[in-house]
Order: sequence, then C-alpha cells, then structure tokens
Amino acid sequence: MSVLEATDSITIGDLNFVLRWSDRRKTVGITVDRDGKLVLTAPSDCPLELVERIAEEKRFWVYTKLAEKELLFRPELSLSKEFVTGESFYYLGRNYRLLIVSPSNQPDLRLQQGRFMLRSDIHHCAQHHFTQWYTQHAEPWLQRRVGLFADRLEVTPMRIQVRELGFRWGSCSSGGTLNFHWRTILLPPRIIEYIVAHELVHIHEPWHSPAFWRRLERAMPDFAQRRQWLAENGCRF
Amino acid sequence: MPRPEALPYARDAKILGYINKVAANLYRDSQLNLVGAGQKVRQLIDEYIVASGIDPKVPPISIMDTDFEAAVSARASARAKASEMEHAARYHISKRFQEDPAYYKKLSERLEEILERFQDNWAELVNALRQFVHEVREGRPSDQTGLDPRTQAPFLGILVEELGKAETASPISLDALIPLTVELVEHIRQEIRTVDFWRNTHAQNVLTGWIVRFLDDHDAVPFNRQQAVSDRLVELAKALHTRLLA
Repeated sequence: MSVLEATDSITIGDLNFVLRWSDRRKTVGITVDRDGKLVLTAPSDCPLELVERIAEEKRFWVYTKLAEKELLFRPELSLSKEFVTGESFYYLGRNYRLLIVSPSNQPDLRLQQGRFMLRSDIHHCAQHHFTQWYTQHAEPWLQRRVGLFADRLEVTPMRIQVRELGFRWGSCSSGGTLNFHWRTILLPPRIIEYIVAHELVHIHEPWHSPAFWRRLERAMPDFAQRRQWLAENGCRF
Repeated sequence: MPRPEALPYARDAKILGYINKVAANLYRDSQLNLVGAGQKVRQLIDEYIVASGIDPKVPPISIMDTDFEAAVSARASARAKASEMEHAARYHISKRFQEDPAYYKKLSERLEEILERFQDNWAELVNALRQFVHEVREGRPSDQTGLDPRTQAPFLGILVEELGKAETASPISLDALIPLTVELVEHIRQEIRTVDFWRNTHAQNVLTGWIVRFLDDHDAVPFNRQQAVSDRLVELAKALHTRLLA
C-alpha cells in the first residue's frame, strides 16, 4: 500500500483524472479502473507541469482503454435483481421467471416447470437462497465437466470448490484445487466449458504463457471465440 | 560526444554494451539489450560493437548455416566452442520443436545427457557436441520403417511415445503401427485440404473424433489416452500443414 499524501483531481482535455501523490512512488502511472474511473498516481516531488505533460502524452492510450471498457463493462446490464414474481434469473445461459409461492413444505427455492419458485415466508433473504441454490447445482455440474476434460488435458481430477470469487470466474491454486465462482453456473454451457478447460490447463502451466494457450487450443480449437464472448457478455450475469 | 562529466564512464559503457551483445548472440536472447540506454549512448556502443567485429544487424549464426563449423572453430577456447554449439543446438531444437515433438524431445534429452556426462571436460565435450551437431544438421534420419521422415515419421513418433508410456503391455506392436500411420496421415491430408480448415472448429472436431475412433478400432492407444493423443496429432498436423499438402 502506498502512502497517500493528498488527493485532488486534474482535467486534461475532456478527461478527468483523480490525482494521487505518493512518497513511495518513483514514476507517474495512469490506471483505468474497472468502472472507467481514471487515476493518476505521481511521486510527491514531481512538478505538476510534468504530470500534466505525461497525462497529455498518454491521452490516446487512455481513450483506447476507455473504448475497450465501454464495450466490456456495462453495469446497466447487471442491475440488481428484485425478488418479485416475474423477475427473470439465469441458469445455464437460459432465463427463468420467478414465482413467489405461498409457504408449504416444499424446499425453500426450487426450479420447477420452467419457473424458480420461492416461498414467500423466506422472501426477506432471497439473495442468500439463490446463491445457495446456484452453488448446490454448480458443484455436480462442474464436477462432471472437469471429469470429461481431465483425461483430454492430461490432468488427474482434483478437488473443486464453488464459492464467491469476487471479480474472477475461476482460479487454480498451486495445490491443484480448482475454485469456481458460483455465478459460472449462470453462463451458457459452452462458456462454462471454456472456464473449466482454462482452469484445468493452469495445473500444467501456472501463467498465461504462449505454451498455456497452445495447450488450451489443442483441446478447444475455438477457445478464442468463447473467451471473447465471456469478456463481452460476462458482465450481464 | 557525451557530456564531459560522462567521459570517464564511456569506456565502461562500451565494454558493458559489448558483453551484452555477445551474450545476447550466444544465448539467442533478444531480450538482452540496452533499451534503457539513451539514443546517444546506444549509438556510441553500437559503433564500438561494429568496430570489434560484430554487426548488430546480423543475427547469430544458425546451426544449419554452412559456415557454422568455421564459426565454431573461430572461437579461441574449447569452452567457448562448446558453449557456441550448445546454445545453437538448443535454439534450433526449441524453434523446430512443434514440427516433430517426439524427435526433438529425444534430441533435447541427448543434449542434456552429453552436457551432463562431459561436465568440465571441455575438449571431450567439444568432440561429443561436434558429433551431435552433425546429427542435428542431418535432421531425422530415414529409418527401417520406410516412412517419409518429414511428413509421416513425426506422427509415428507420437504414437511410439505413447507405446512407451503405457503401463500395461500394449496389445499393438511397433510394426503394426507403421501401416496405421500411413493411413492416418493420408486421411489427415485429405481433411486439412478443405479451405480454411484451421478456422473451422467443426471440421477440426470431426477430424479429432475420427482419429479417436481410428485409434480405438486398432487398439493403438489405451482408452483414457485416446482423446489427448488425438489432440496432439491434430496439433502436429497444424504445424506441418504446408509440408503435408506440398
């Protein structure tokens, strides 16, 4: 963590940067945040004119990054869900409508006759129940896909875990445990397959080296299209 | 040219630049360069390097070059000769690896073994490496299988590698693999002839599926390895595309 002295902002052209001064930094850096916010970090002893000149020089790069962000990050698509009858929820790439049903001895939440049925008496913690339902259904599904790809990718099956992973779809620990975000089960099956294959290849190749992509391409020749789809549409889920 | 305060360091900069260039040439590592140096300093160093008899624009000599022997002999010590041959061979193997994984893997293992065996014995190491380099230059020799070493033998190589990996006694003999390889390569040739084959995922999946069934029908590879081996064979076909269709 760098020591922040003061924070203010500067405007260059039509770009607005949050300016952070730091005692520890040796160089000026520009970051385009996940939500498109621009952050300029500079060493404390750097004159303001120099910072401005560097930002000016890097304007083209910033615009390219922002254009990319605009394509990939669309928060309006991932509006938070309301748990009322008729709201739609994803499962394996398809939409299912929610139906609030009166309390009974049925399970809290179930997918039946093309509808998610949520009992009205547990309505107050619906998000929790959905997360739990997705996690439960993701585990066997992912386990089966891991099994299908394990031989093909020459890895021995290991433990998988479905949990909250923040901004990542999946991860692979050095011990060979595969972690998947519970949200992966919302995606269409062929995209989930890409995430599974991607994490399995990480057991051979820890980094995204050329060898990593070569190995992935060997088993999944169209991985690039699936990856692109995920980058462009992943935020919808 | 540099400012007077920098003059005392000019000589060191030149020597550093020279060592850098020689090391980059020896290790075939383009990452070894002085990008950090300013334009004037780089020009100064480049002039010095040219004056020392190395042209920065000419890439290091390849093992396939007819003058390779002469270039090695020009090195003063046995150690330098061995090092030149070692790194030229390493580079050659890593460049061509995709074209015939089984053969180049064996070469790479042989090279490591030679280096291990003649550790510190430079004169003998030079002799062993000369012999090795000669073999590398010849390429995969045509053997008693009668297969074309440039197109068919690499596929057989992968299948034979699998034969060695199998834990249980394999039901298929080496001799039986030869006609299978011929048939396999012939089929692959016909399939990849399709326009834009390598951009057509479906066609590639069909080919992989065909190979899996082919290997299964002839018991060439144990069941749980068939998919992985097929993927490797298709990958090899991609690397050899132009050669197969020539």
